Amino acid sequence: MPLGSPSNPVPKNSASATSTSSTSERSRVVVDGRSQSDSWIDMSALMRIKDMPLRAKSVVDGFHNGLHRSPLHGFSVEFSEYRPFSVGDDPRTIDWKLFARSDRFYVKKFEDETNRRCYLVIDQSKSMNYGSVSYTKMEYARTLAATLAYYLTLQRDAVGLLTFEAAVTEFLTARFRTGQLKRIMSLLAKQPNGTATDLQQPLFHLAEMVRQRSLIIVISDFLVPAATLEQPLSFLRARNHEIMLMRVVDPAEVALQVGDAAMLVDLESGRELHVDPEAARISYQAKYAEHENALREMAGRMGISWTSLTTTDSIEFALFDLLHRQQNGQKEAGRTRGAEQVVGGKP
Amino acid sequence: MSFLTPFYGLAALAIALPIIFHLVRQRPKLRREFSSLMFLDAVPPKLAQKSRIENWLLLLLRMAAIGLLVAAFSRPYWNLAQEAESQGTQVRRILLIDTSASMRRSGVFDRAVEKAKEFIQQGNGKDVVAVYAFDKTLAPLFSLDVALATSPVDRKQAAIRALDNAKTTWFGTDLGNALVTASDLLLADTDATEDSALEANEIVVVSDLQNGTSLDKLSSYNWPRNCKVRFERIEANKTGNAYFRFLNDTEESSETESTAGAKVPKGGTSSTASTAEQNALFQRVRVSNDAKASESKFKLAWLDSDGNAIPDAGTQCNVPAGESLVVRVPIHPKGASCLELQGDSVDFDNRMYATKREPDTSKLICVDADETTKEASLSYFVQNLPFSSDTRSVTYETRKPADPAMWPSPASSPLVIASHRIEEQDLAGLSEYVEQGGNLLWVWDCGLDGRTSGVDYARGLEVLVGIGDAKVTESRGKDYAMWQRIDFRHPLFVELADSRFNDFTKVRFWSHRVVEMNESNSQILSRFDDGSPAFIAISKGSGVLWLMTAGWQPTQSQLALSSKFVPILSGLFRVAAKDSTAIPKFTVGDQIKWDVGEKVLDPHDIEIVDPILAEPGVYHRVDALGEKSPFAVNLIDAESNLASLDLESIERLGVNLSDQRPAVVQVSAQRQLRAVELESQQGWWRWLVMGVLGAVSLESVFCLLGVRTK
Repeated sequence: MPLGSPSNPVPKNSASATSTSSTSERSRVVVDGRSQSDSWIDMSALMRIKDMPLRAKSVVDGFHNGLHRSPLHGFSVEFSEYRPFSVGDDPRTIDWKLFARSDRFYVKKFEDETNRRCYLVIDQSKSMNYGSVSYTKMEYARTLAATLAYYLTLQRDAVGLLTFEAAVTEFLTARFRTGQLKRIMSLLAKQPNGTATDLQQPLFHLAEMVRQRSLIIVISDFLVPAATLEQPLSFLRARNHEIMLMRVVDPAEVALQVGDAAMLVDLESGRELHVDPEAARISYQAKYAEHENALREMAGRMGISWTSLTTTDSIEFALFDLLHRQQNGQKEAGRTRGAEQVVGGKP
Repeated sequence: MSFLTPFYGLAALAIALPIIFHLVRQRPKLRREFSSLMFLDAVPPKLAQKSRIENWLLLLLRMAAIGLLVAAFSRPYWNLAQEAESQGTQVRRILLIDTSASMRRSGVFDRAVEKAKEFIQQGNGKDVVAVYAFDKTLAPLFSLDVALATSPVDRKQAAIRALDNAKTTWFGTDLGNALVTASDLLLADTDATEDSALEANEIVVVSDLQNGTSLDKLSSYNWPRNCKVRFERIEANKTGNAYFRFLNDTEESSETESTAGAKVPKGGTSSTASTAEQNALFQRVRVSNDAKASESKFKLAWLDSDGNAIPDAGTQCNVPAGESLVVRVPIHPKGASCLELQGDSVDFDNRMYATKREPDTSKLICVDADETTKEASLSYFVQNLPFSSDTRSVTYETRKPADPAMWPSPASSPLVIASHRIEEQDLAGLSEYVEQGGNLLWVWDCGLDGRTSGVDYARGLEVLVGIGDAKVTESRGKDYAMWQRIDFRHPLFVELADSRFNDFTKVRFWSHRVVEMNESNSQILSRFDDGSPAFIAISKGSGVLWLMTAGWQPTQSQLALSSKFVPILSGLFRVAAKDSTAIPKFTVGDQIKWDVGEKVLDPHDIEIVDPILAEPGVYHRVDALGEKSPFAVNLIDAESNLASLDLESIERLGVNLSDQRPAVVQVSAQRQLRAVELESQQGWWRWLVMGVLGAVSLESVFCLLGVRTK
């Protein structure tokens, strides 16, 4: 595992343990990692780069150095199966070497990874404008989206974009062609003026628009009741889309680190509430944890990847999770196909 | 320690505010944005425990600042000397109770007496109270001298008892006289006291304060500064009043003008009757109704001496409130005593008494000879003059010069006109006539050059009035002469004094005589334009010789044909007969004189002793022969004017009015005034404000230190 090398402090078992990772786990890992090495990208330094493509390139290039040593990398056209030739198949697909050995016509099937479609769904509501560090969740989310788009484009995947607030604001169909990344970057650079958050409507919209199976990466703070997400996500899953939920939260939101007692103003509704953090912290953290557990449980139940990132976390973790997802997806698909093959009888 | 504005003390409750603020946890001033409040519950700011008050020093300083501020606004003062000072003041007070005719209205005087008693009762025991009644004059009921002599213990009761003797009169109201007299009484007594400066003088007037009261005396009186006047107004049950007055002939024209639009009822007369006939049959009266009156329908009825209405001698009239109306009523019927206004509830002034007087008879004698032409005759222009009037019947007689008949007495013939033709033998009789009070008008209507008869003018003057050095010559001037330097103040010319009538330039005298004499008893009423006397009045004995140095017939001058002739001779006759233009009127309060042997009976046929007429009614003058001549006495007009008098009009005359509020309120106000004075003298609030500033400064310093320490 190349990412488990000394330059990558992630435990070796972390990649194969589960498809979901929690913020607490990630934070601990990050803290531990920083105590041992400084190879992870400093997010504060990264956010100081004004140019979004440069930010993405900085992250992905560093990530690639390790990735090239990965044995899983380079199978752009991967063998999938042999299937007996039947009338109507293209004769060019017949494996003649096998015919020479077995005197039977078999068709060689390959998996086409380059045709993967990925949609980045970015929440641009006002709650995303919160940030207790030098940058907001929104900037973090946009950098994350840019990084993923750049990374996927390098892998020759088609990348699309959907940004939303209370409704869909921008939609770009996933394509792999020249200029697509530039358009994505320019859309991400646009300053949103969103107010409320409505996750349901963009997801329904996406399910209607995207017919082909795609990887859908939703980047949001998910500060909505978990129950409201269940229906749109089920709808997307029914369309056979792969879904990754990436939650972006501020460290202050996790621990209610808002200083002394103050009047807190809800960024979206404008509602004011007097809050004494010392008195309210326990209750807040309990409710926060309950909400996150509900989301994670819903994701696990629906086979959705769940990633929780604090804005101090390195974006490379997200790339790692994506890669991990791809590997798991390949293996899982392979296992499924093997089973099917077994179930389906001898070739 | 007292407080001038103690209600500010309620603000001391604000001292609790710093305590509450110290106990309340500060509501955060910071407003922070947060992504979502969905995991947060609302927690209100909590009150800390009492034991959690931290900055005791700041708390105490803040409480002290508020407390001192409240105390400063409450204006504290020490009042130790206040009571002693208030007890040391003695007020000398004269209470004037109105007893005039207007107080005869129902219940008014009783209430006035009650009010006066109540006022005396409420007064301080140390005060000196004198009681006087006033109407036209001021009369003591409990004089100031007596009041000062009475012990303070008995003074109040004596004053109250004196009020029981007060009675209403029929006189008019002279409030100005009453105030001035009372003020003089107070000041005269005050001057005699050594510590007068410390004492207060007050005049209390208990009256209905009607508008008809006289204030004339106040206008020329310098009201003393240390004497105040307090008015207690007595309101009547009924507001408004209607009254009427007789109009005589001279008032007729002006009154008609002044009451424009007044309806004159026919009073049963024929519509074809002339104005002169109506005047002979009807008497004009003016009915006035007050603006606040509730009645408007009235009846004027003649009553006999017993108060019974005389049939067919009444007139209905409708006078709206605030208006007046001239009404014709039947002229004084036989047996009538007074005219009554019926329908007015305020009845004290509803009767006006009147008497019917028989006209006097007089004789005018003109001594002249018959002339060949009427224009040359002096008497021709005299005999046609209208000397007769309602009060006098004048007969005319022409007597030849040197007539041996006896000259009548001046009483029966007040005026004798003599031409230049009188002879020597007439002079003695005429001289005696003038001596006895007669008026002789001697007209030198013939020039000295052409005289054929008559006594010499200088000789006549010597015999008639005893002027021996008179020198008479004929005027040798221009073609004609005119009068100048006419004495329009003399009764003879007073009616011509108006600028519309005083032009004598069209009266030209073709010839006149120039008389030079030195007589102190003479009065030159007019002169010719050459400076010689034209009309001279020379007194002799009880009578007067009126001398004209030119005649009035057309051969002598244009006087007889001018419009000035009738007024001059009528005026002369009126002066001679001692008539007045107006019908003699007597009002209550007038002083009457009677000769020895005469007596005057009041309306109750009782002989009066006091020459002042005290009540309205028909009086009788009884001469030495026992013959009665009635005359009427009525209320003065002003007494019927019952509108409320504005106190500001009195104040404008310089009267120092005291506080008109009730006594209880006044005492309270005086205490408050004293408190204000004490507080302003002591000025504690300044020190308290200084204390507030000090406390606030210290608080600021400690706050700053606390902040820096944090």
